[in-house]
Amino acid sequence: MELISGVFAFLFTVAVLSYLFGDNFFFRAAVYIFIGASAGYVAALLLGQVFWSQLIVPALSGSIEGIILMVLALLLFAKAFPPLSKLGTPSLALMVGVGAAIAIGGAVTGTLFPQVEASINAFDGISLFKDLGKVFEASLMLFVTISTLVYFQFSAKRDDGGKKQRNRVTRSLAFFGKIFIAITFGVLFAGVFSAALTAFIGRIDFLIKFIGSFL
Amino acid sequence: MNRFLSPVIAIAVGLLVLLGYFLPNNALLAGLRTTFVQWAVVLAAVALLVGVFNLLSVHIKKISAKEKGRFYSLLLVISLLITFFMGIFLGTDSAAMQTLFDSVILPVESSLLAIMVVTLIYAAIRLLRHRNDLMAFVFLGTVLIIMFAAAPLPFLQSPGLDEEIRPFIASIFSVFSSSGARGILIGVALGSLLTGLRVLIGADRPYGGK
Amino acid sequence: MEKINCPVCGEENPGELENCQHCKQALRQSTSELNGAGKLIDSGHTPTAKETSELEHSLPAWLKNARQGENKEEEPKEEEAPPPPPSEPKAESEEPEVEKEDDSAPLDWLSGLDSDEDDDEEEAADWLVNLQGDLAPEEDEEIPEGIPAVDEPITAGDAPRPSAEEEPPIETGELPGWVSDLQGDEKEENADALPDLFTEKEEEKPILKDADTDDGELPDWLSTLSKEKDSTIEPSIETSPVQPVSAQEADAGSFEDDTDETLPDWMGDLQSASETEISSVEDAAPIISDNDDLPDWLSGDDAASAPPVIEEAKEEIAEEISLDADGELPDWMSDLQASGESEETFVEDAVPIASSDDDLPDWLSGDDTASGSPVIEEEKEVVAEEVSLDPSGELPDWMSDLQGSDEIEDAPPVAEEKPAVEEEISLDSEGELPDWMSDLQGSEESEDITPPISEEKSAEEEVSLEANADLPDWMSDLQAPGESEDDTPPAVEESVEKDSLSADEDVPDWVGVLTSADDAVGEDADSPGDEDPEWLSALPADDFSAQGVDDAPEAEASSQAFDTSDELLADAEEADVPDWLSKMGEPATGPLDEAKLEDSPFEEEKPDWLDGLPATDNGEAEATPSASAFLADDTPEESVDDDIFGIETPDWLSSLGPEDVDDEFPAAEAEVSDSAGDAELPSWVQAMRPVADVVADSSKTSDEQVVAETGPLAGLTGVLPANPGLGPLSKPRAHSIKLQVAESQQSSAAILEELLAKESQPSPFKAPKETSSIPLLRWIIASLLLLGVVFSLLSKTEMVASPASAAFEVQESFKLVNDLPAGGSALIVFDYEAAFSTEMKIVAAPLIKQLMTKSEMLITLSTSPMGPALAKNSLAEIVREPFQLIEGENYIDLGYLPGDASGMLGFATDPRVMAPKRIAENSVWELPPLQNIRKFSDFSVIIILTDDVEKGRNWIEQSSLALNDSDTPLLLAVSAQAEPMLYPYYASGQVDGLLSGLSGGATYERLKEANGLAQEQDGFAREYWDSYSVGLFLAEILIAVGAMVNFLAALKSGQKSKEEK
Repeated sequence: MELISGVFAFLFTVAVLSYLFGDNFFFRAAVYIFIGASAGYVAALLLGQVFWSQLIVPALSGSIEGIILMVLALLLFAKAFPPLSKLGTPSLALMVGVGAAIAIGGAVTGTLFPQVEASINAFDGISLFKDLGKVFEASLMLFVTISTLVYFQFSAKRDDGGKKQRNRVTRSLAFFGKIFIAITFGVLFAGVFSAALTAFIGRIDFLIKFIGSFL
Repeated sequence: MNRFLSPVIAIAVGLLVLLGYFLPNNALLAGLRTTFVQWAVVLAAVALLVGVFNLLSVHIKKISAKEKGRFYSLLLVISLLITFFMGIFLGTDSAAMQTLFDSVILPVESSLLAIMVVTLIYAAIRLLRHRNDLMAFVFLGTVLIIMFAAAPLPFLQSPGLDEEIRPFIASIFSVFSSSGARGILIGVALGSLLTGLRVLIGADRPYGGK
Repeated sequence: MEKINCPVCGEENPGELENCQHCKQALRQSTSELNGAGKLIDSGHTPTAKETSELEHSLPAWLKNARQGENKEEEPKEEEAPPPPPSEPKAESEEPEVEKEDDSAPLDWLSGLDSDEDDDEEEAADWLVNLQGDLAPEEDEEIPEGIPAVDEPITAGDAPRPSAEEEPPIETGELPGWVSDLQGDEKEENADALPDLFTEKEEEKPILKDADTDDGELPDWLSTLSKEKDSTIEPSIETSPVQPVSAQEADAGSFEDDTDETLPDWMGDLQSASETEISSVEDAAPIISDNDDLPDWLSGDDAASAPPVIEEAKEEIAEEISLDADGELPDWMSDLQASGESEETFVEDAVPIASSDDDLPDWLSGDDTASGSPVIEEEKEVVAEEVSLDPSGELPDWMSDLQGSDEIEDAPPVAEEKPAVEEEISLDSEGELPDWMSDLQGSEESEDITPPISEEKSAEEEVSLEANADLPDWMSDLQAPGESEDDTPPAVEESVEKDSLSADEDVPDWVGVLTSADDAVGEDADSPGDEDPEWLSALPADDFSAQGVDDAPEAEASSQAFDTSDELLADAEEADVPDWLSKMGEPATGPLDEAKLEDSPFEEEKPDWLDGLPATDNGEAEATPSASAFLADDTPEESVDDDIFGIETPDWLSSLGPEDVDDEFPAAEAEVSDSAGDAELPSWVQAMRPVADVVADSSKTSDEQVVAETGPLAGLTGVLPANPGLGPLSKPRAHSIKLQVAESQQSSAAILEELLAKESQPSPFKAPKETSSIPLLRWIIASLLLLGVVFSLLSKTEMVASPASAAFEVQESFKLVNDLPAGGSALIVFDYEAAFSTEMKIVAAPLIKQLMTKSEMLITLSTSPMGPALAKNSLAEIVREPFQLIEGENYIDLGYLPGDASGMLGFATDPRVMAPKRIAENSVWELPPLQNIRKFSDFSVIIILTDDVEKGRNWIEQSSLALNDSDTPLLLAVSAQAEPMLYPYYASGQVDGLLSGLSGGATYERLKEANGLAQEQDGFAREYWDSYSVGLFLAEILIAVGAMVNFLAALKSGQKSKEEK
């Protein structure tokens, strides 16, 4: 079983890695199979673990919540059919409403406040003269944070010539924020590369091990 | 009726859930929030299922219409159906499904990420050819520095470099990166907040209601 | 060879000839205009005056017929009209005036017939106008031999033009040519010719001065007659018949009315004499004949030597003229006498009649009445009434008026001449009415009778011949042709009774002049004597009958009468026809054509009073309305109000049709080149003609211009052809097809052409610089990476040392896990994708292994569908011997949690609700790993394994509330790509530990090793660390070198592009 799995894994890995040499049939086939398998696995997973236990069983049990949920689920399922797509609007609306609320709550309580607090707290407990490094670090972090936020602020006034232009302070902060954003993106790029490299190494290792298993 | 029902549901449910964030101790709000969240979770699963169904129908149409690339669509449909039925009949927890996962999904995805290395390197090489401004240099410089600081150089190791320089560089850039990230996170959070508020007040109706 | 038919005789002639071989008439119309010799009327050019008599040939047939009809109508009306009392006092009062007038100029009873220079022509009888047949309208006109011109008045000597059409019956108004020649000059030259009887009437009926008289000047006695009838005629009509007053219809109609209204009774009798009335005429005839005192010219039957024509005329006159044998005035004479008492007055400017007694015949020159020239006036209400003869020998008023009409200068129109003549005829008071006068009177009765006409007729009735009146021979001759007798006997009788003529020697001088007209009018003018002038006796009776006796309005009868009269005239010429009469030739009108008078009596000898007549060649001759009627070819046959035209024409003149004229005139005009040019057209027609500079089309050449050959626009150029397609059409103007382009336009076009050429021409195509193909560079990159990785993987050597220093977050994570109590439940969330499985495995492996060492139960959960599978896969590789994961015991997989943030929130809020999983029909939450878990914070540690920033953020955000007041650590084991964005959460304290990427795993392993916690399962990081280092090193080199190369290349290309620009 592991051999079959290995073989398939090897084949699919080679097929996909063959893209390095150009687009080809194996690559596309492997990708399309992957998509199909993934879709099927998800569908099976949903039906087996979600619908049955959280939708059908409660509905069959006769609970109001189960019935309402069943109705909402069926209405949402109408979205799959264009003539009936409008029927799934209420279910989507519930989802969107819940998601919007969760997004608001999480953004506020999970990011805004803590991050702002963290920016403030960076200066907490440090002495300006003793922990100059920390102060500098905190200041730097604050400065970077602010400049980054200012960079995304595009509201501007029209000057006498009718040209939209931000004020000098804003433009200066935006410039630094742009640099810090570039650094951030650089770091992100490095991280992505690192991950990809790791995946690459893993695949190569797999291939080697698979081939080695036969040798 | 649908014109007003959907917005009402979205707003009402959203406000109730939001209130639960600020009134966690209220049992009614907590119960409503739990119910609505549970419903949203189930409906999300249904939405995901609808997506899979749509994917299946599109490729089936492509096959029936004998369009170009219908073979790949056939592969997709076959793999989908096999996987689906295997998961239905065998269970997603079965070894078969695991094997299927280990033999198809995992290798393919991993391989797709693996080829990203070459693409990323190629993109980094071509960056300055198309855009040779300050930002590009900063970006590339950062990339190189981070990459340098991430791992020691082969065939060139030194305690000072590996134990002093790299960590210092990493920490500096970590400050900048983290600060920048924090700004981005705050900005994203603010955007999320505004988007959520627009939905809750009915300004935006992504669910299709007019 | 081309042949042409003679318009006169109809014979065929060669086309080369100009005159007919048979009749010597012109074959072609005058081409003076056609050849361009003629002038187009320019602006400001005064239209050429025309004489009515000249244009009578152009009378339309309907007009002629209308005249004839009027003559018939006038006869009954004349009967109805009561005879007006004689107006002797008026005649007496007018006599001096007439005498004065006569003294100044020779009495010319036809002076009123002269062409009037003024446009407002007086009415003149057509027959009087025709008397001017040989008087050419212009000087240059050549009078055809024997045949008057088309526009010439008919004279006694003129031979009638042959006409193919039926000619209207010659009515009494159709005087022979010699009578028409008597159309006086502008001045009253022949005032002496007026008989006494005429002068009497002049006082009563002053001859109206008519400034508008046309060329045809009627004698006073004739003009007065015309004025009577014109009394009701509208002022606008009182114009010369040849002068345009209004439409030709009006002119034509006026002709009719005039002929019907203005003919004196004796004139009308002559025209409308009918067979039934012959007896009445015959009754009158003896009266006339018995009157030895009548001038020869008035005694028609006595002219035994008269030619048959004259005899016929005499017979006619005898029929019509009713004279009382007892000496009573003939009706017409009495009428004339009574007209003097009427309101009408003689026209002062009547036909000039010899003022002196010597000039006028006795019957014309009265005692009281000056031998005024006959006046032809336009507006004369009752002329016949004025005509009266004084039994005592005084001239009738009308005669006296005629004598006194010395002031007459303007020639009354031809149409007016007739009525004027009719009205002014005043016979001797003795009541003798010449036959010819009685005939004329009778002919008028057939014409339409209006009140003025009635008055005129009543006046005419006054004019009566004395029973023993010395009828002039010419008048007696008029009685002879009694064939055309439509005149009613009573009317004739009345006219004869009323009309009066001097019985004896009171023959008007003018009559005497007339009698001597055969040889020379002037010779006999002074001494008319009692004898009938030879010319008068020579006149065929038919003429008179046609003119006055014939009462039939029909054209046939009149034509016959004219024929006979023409014959008579011709015979009369042979038999001592006066020169002037013989010179008259053929009359201008159709019916008179048959007269065929070869010579115009005026050609050789003209009486003095006739000298005053406007010559037809007189350039100042004004066109008369009658001319337009004569010339009108297309004159619609409409009922024309004669009043409008206001021309008094005798019936015999009105019977002339334009058709006849049209057929005849072209031949006549061919010879009369000068006169037939513009003179063809009446002045008013000429005035209507388009002006040359307006009509002329400058765009066309003279050759292309269409020249009208016929019609009123004859000779004009640039007119539209009557028949489209038949006329000479001008060639369409050729237009150049070349486009005329200016220089500026050419330059612009050239520029445009260049632009278009550039568009069509392929621009130099710069082949795009081929970029490095992705396979080559990628192959290099891939190859290098493969070599390095493979080499490093296969070397199994540690080329690169593990990271010595650990990041703070890694240390914190290590510490945290290390400090976990044993036997707890660690929630591990596998929210990463399969692609990152290797990295995540490297990162998670040491952590999980450490947890295992802590006897932690692992609870796996995933918000990704692939999570559970990944979890299994990772755990299977991580947890190895001696550790083993047993589901239900130390391991529970909660499966898939949908909804992302919502699920996280739900799970964080109530994990049991959100993950209702069962294992062996037992809820997992009842199993040992989870039996102690009630809430999210009950977990010993929560490890989030994710590669996605969003998921990690969501987990942090959603679990922050749940973990806010708990000590449950939250660790993040993330991919290297997510670590920068999730580090702030660590920095903020929301996350207790953070492991990221291969380096983090490697660092964690090193720490573990350093802390003596190294295990055999560890080493994934180390295995890949060398490859990772090599990979990073290679990437760094490739990126660095490649970026520099590309940067330099870009700079170089930029410089090249700048240089190229």
